[in-house]
Amino acid sequence: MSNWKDNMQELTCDVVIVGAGPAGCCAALEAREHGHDVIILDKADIKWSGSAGRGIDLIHSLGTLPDVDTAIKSSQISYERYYREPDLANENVIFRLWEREEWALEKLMKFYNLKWYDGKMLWAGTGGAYAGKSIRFNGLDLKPQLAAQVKKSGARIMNRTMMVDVLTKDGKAVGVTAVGTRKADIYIIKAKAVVLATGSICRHFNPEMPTHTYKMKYHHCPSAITGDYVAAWRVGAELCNMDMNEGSVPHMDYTCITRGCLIGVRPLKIKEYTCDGEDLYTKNPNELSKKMFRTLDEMGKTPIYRGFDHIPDEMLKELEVNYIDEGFVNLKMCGEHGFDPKYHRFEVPRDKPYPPDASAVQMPGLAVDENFMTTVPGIFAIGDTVSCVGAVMSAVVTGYTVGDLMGTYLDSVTGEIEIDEAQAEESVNIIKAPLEMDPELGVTPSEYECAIREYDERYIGIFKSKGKLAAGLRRLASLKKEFSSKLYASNAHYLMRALEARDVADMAEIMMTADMAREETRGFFNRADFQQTDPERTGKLTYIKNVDGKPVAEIKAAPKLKEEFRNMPKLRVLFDENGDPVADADVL
Amino acid sequence: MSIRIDHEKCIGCKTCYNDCPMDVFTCDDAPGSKPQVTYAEECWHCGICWMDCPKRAIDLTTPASFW
Repeated sequence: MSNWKDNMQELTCDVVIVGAGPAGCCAALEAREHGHDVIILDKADIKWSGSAGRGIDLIHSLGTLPDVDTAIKSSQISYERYYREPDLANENVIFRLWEREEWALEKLMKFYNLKWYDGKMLWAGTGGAYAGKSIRFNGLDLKPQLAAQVKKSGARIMNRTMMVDVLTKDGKAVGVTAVGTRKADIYIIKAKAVVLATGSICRHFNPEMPTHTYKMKYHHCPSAITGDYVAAWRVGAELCNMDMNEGSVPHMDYTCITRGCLIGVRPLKIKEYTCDGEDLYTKNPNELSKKMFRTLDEMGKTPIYRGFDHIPDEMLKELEVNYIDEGFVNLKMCGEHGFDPKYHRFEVPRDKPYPPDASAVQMPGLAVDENFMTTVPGIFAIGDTVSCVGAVMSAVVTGYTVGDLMGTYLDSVTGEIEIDEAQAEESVNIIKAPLEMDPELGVTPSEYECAIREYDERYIGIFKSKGKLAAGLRRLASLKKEFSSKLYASNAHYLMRALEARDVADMAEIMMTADMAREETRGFFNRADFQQTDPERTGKLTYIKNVDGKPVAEIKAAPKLKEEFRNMPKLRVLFDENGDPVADADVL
Repeated sequence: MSIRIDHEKCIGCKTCYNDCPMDVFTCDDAPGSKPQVTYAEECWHCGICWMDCPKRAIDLTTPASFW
C-alpha cells in the first residue's frame, strides 16, 4: 500500500519565498544578507517571471515626500482620484513604504541604474493613481539583473515550481506544498516563515473563446499569476478590498495597445476624448469610470480614445519606455498598424467587467501589518500580493523591508519545524488527483476556469446587485460541488492550470461575498440596488475572513498611523533637492 | 495562432523553453533538442522568446483576435 509521502521530496529552510518577481527577488537578497537560508520558488523562471517580467518603465515614489503625514495625505489623494474614497490602506503600511523607500532604492541602485539617458534621475509626475512622483527609466533588463543577483546570493532557486498550499500548525506557518510544473514532482518545503510574493491576478482565460483557440483575454503584465495568494486565506489569513474588482485592464487588440503605464509624461497627463473629439479630460480629469462610459455609450459618444498628441515632441521619448511595461509586442503591433502616439489616439474600452486584477493601485490582496505579516503568524506578504501596495516601487521596498524585518519573527521560532501531517496529506492528494482522474469523467482546467470567468462577468459585473451576486454564489457552489474534485490534467503543465483553476474558484466566491456585503454605491463600486453612498461605510473597508472554509465579510476601518511612527525619520535620505542621489549615495 | 519556431535556424539552446513565463513550449531533455510550441493557445505574445532567441528563429505573429 503506497504512502502519501511516496515520490515526494521534503526540503527545509528558514524562509520560503513564493514568487521570484521583483518583490520576491528583493526579499531573497535581503534575507541572504542576514544569513537566512532561503528557498525561492517560481512557477515560471526567475529571469523573466512576474508582471514586471518584460521590463518596467517607472518606479512610483512615496519616499521623497518630506514626512509621513504628507505621504499618507498623498496616498489619500490618489485613492480619492481613482476610487473616490481616500481611506483604503493601513496607514502603518504607508509609513513603512515611506520610511524605507530610499533605503531600499539605494540597495537596488548599487547594481541597477535607474537614471535616464542623460545620466540624471528623471522624475515624472505620474498623472495617474500613484502618490508622489515617479522615477522614469528604461527597465527592460531589471528582472534578469535581479535574477543574477539572487543567484549570486546563494538563495536556493526552484524554477518551474508552483506553490499549492501554505502549511500551518497551531495557527502558525510551517511551510508550503509545491509541485513542479514540468515533471509534477511534489515537494513539502518546511520553513519558519513563508513570504508570499505571488503578485495579484493577471492571467484570465476568456470565457467567450472556444477551447483550443487563443485563450488570453487581457493585455496587462503578461504572466501566469492567478491569485495564488488565496492559499493564505485558505489557512486563515484576512483579505482586504476584494470588493474593489473594477478592473481596468484593456482588451487585447492593437487599438487598446496597453493601459499599463501609458499614464502620462511628466507633468502632462494623457487626455481622453469621445469618438467625435470632445475633450473629456478637461471636464473630468479623473479616471473614466464604467458608469460614465455607459452614459457616453448611450449617448453615442463611444469609442473613447486616449491621446498624447498634446505632448511636446521632446517629451514623447519618455513614451517609448512606457511600452516596455507590456513588452515589445506592443511596439510591434503599433508598427504593423502604423500607430504613432504622436498622431493617433488609442481606444479605451470600459464596457466589460473584469475580475480583480492588477488595477491602478492594486487594491485587493492580503491584509498585513507594518512588518508585512498577515493575520497568520509566519505568513508574510509583499508586492502586489498585499492590499493597497502596488507596482514595482512597492515590490522593491516591501521585498527588501521584509527581508530585513523578518529576522525578529524568525528568532522567535525555535525547535524543529513540524508540519500538520493531515493537512499536508490533504494538499498532496489535491495535487495528485487531477493526474489520476479518468479523462472521460473529468473536466479540463480551462473549461472549469472559463465557466467560473463567465460567472465573474455575468453575476459580478459592473452594476452589481444582490440578485445577481446570490445567483452567482449559488451557481458557483453547484459548479464547485460537481466539478472541483473532477479536474483532469493530462500532464504537469495542465496540472498547474488545474491548481490555478482551484484558486480562481476560491477568488470568485470571495469577490461575490465581498460585493454582497457592501450595500452602497461609491466611486467605482456600483450597486444597482443600493445607489446611494452609505455614510456608515465612510472610512471603512471590506475585510474577508475564513470561517470554516467559507469567506465571511467584516466591514471595518483600516488601522490608523501609530503615534510612535508619526515623528520617526526615514531610514535613509537618498535624493537631494534636485532629485539626484546625495553625495555619499552608493549607486550606479 | 501563435509563435512559430523555424527549426532550420533553431540550434536547440532552449532559451525560449527556459524563459517562457507561460510555459508554452515543451522540449526533450537531451542537449540540442529543439523546443516545440505545445500550448499555443496560452501564448501571451509577450515577445520574450522572440527577443532572446540568439538565432532569430522565432516568428511572432499577432493573432487575429487582437489584430
